[in-house]
Amino acid sequence: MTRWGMVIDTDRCTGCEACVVACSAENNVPTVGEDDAAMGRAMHWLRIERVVEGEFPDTRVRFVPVLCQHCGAAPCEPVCPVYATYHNDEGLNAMVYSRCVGTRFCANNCPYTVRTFNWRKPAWPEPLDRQLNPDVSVRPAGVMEKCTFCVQRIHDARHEADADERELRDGDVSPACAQSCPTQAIAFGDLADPESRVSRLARSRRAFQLLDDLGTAPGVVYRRGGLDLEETVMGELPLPGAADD
Amino acid sequence: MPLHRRDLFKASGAALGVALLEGCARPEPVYIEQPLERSTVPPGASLWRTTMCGQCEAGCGIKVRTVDGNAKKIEGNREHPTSRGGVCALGHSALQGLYDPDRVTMPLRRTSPRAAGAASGAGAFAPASWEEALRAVGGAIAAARDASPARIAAVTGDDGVAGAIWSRLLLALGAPALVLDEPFDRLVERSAAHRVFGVAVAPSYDLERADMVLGFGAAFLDRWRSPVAYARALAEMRARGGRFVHAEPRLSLTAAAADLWLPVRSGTEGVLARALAGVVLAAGRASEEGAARYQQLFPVTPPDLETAARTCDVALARLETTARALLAAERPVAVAGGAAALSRDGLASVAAGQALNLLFGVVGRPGGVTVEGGVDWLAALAPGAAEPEPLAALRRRLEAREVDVLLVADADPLHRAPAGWRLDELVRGVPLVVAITSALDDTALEADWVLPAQVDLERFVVTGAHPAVATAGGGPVLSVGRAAVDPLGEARHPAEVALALAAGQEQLSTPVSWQGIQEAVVEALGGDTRFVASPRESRRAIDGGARAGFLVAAAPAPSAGDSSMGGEAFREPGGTGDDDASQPAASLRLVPFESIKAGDGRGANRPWLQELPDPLAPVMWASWVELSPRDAATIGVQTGDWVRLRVAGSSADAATLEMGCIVSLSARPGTVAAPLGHGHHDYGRYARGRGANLMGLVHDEQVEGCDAPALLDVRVFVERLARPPRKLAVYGRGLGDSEHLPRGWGAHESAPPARSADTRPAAAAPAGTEGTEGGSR
Repeated sequence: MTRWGMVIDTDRCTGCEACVVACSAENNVPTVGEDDAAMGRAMHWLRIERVVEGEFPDTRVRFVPVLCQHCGAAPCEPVCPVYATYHNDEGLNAMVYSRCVGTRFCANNCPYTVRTFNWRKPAWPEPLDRQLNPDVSVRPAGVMEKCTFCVQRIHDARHEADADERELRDGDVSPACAQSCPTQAIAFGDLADPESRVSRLARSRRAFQLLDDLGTAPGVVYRRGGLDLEETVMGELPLPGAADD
Repeated sequence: MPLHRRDLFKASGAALGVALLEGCARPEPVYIEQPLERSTVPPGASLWRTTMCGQCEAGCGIKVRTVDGNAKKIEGNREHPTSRGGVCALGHSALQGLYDPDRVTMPLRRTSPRAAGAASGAGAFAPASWEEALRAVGGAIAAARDASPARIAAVTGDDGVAGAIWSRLLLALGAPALVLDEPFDRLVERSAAHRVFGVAVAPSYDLERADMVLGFGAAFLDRWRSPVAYARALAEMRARGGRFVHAEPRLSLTAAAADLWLPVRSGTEGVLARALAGVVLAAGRASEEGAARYQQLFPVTPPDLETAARTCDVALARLETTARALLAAERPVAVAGGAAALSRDGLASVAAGQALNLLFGVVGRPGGVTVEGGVDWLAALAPGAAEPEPLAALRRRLEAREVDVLLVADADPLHRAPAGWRLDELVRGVPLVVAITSALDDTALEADWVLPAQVDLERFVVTGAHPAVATAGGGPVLSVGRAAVDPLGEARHPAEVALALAAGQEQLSTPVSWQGIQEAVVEALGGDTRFVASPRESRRAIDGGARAGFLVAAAPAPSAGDSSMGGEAFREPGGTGDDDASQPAASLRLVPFESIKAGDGRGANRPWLQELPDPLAPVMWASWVELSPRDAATIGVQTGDWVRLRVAGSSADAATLEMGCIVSLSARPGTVAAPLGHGHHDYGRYARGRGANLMGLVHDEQVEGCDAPALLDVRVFVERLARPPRKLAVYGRGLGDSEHLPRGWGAHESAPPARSADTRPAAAAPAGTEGTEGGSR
């Protein structure tokens, strides 16, 4: 059985936010305008969190892309009164938009704060609407949404594999964020397959998961960022990426 | 006369014959220009078109997904030798530039007079036809030629094929050289490279095969040259254990990615580079030839690390760490530009950075620096034309009232030039101004004619991919892009407009007779044996390039420049005084930068980018300043407030700018960092009046020895706006809580989630769960 998952290398992430825009383009994520954005209603399915340590001149900043973690034990799922959010058998934490009645219980229960709500009817003034992806439904007002691991691209890859009469191969599926990443900081694949690239990357001393002590069993694994040159002068300590893969 | 059925057959047969003959006489359509394969794709099915991204000079390879002739998505072309599948935020947003609801899609003629402070937007224009437009502009050019051809000026931001075609037109008209509206720091970089390496080309750097990268102001992961290729190369270098030390006054994305950030005072990068050169020389690590060449450029004894630490205001221990790592490295490379270039000392600073590579012995080597240009379009297409001039040359011509016709294509000089140049007033004095653009930018607002330009996804483009040699492992790379979609409305390629204007002129001194831009490309590449074996194979080579998205030169040997050329010595970089006692008290030094959100301004009309929270100061839909906690406390502001910026020492009626305020733990005390590229007068509904244009604060500060403004030598007063214009949109979602920032900010400035145990939200609820900041809650 497939368990879709993602590995994000924070040492490679430069915070360029290409993934954020790629995600919006792929998934018809609307923009809400300044007033709503100021009220915290921006809709991004993926955000770059900044981790700042220390004050000038000793400041270190790292970036952590945070998206739906597609938890194995997702706190958002049991609270939906209409089963609009559910768990599929490939580990995806999926949404049925047409079921959603907008209680927002799921967002309230998500410790990663990755769910966004359509407070208004999204608008794409002509001809901006010509860009909309026909493979992804546009969500109406009053509906919750979030990262789907680009489920439409998973389906596409599977259809292609079926057409070629073969099994889905590791690397066939690449969500929009992973596809666009200039440094290939994001890897996607089957965590249930011990030989897949994500599984290999996840078996690292650098690996950690966000809030995993909450017992959410996230499907996203992070790899810790680089070491400080001042602590590792002359390479006495292992360097990121070199030793532990 | 009654019409008989037989006559009708005869007549229609004759008409058909004529039509067929006409069809035969038409030149064979050129493959690279044609929208492809459309008829074979069923409705609703995807067609991926390989092309290149034209959003900046990098020329990354992309594939555009089209469905029913509409562009849906941009993805990276994994085969492309420099970008290798990556795309940046600006590149993705090209789709929204293409489908901007306020795009210029037909020629516009000015109907109300140009006046100061008009900024009247689309209302000042009426639609017209291309025939009218070309007749009017062509007539004005002919009249100006009769008077004096020197009174014709053309500006473009395209230094490739299109620029060369404009140059050829100007040459044929007998007009002065083309004005190139390019990044100001590139101008400085090229001037420095001319003396350091003997070639006036902005160098490219092979970061991937280096084992240590030293950055001097060049924010190559933010928006500098080729962020996608450099990000990839740096990640590979670091994965193999390479080091990266970066010196820049602001903690940019590039500085954040460094193993060690040297937060130098603005304008002192050169002193740091000189001191490190001293270390390398003292250790005897430089070759005899390299050292001799270096000392020819910098004859004075370099400062020691202690002096540099004092001048740069960086802890000596950090410089010593850098020096030790540098001496331990086998293939270090120094990258200089960006912020280092744009202070009074910029030329010497950048040269000091570049010249370190002479000491490292990495010029023209793998893992080093290369100064080979791509195709010399100007020499190929406009032989005899003068080299393009910088924007400052246009200013001088306008000030001398020497321009009657001003043609601007693919450039927005009025947005990018310092306010102190008064280009807007000067342009208002020009009898005919023509802007060829896809959106109503600041220059178009002052134009008599606005002609609709195709955006990159609608064009055939060929450009040198940066870094040209570094990642290709061979000769330079040309990116080739063909139209992915049909043009919106009546948009045309700006170079085709140049050709149409040439066709309307009589008795040109040299013919400008290409049928289209592709023919010019075929001719130019036919003469470059690096890309095409013989001129006859040129068309086929370009067709192949258009299919793949790129062409790689056959010749593998990268040029090391011509170091035998007598490079004149540079003045010793001294660092421009930051907290100089003569400066007005309480004024802060401005640190302008190009953000990933707007770049040089072209990204401002895209809602995706406007609503993108900046990764370091998560503001949306506005421009902002970054202040240190110390300065913020002095001024009495906090994150979310609005501030007003006024140039220090200026009169009370001088321009002021209003921006949002972010208190940043990484901000250097005594500085105020702010992004460029905001504050358009129009540029469509998503950009109109958003943020403030920092160039409004820049007057006559100049980089010594260069025609570039010294943006980092501006000092400003910052004051709190008692009445904020509106609530500042600050992105508030996050995993933790923060003591330093207002509720809802959300970032764990004090509690990093780098270890899972640390990522627990503070005892209460995670940030963003209370009040209105919580968004979807």
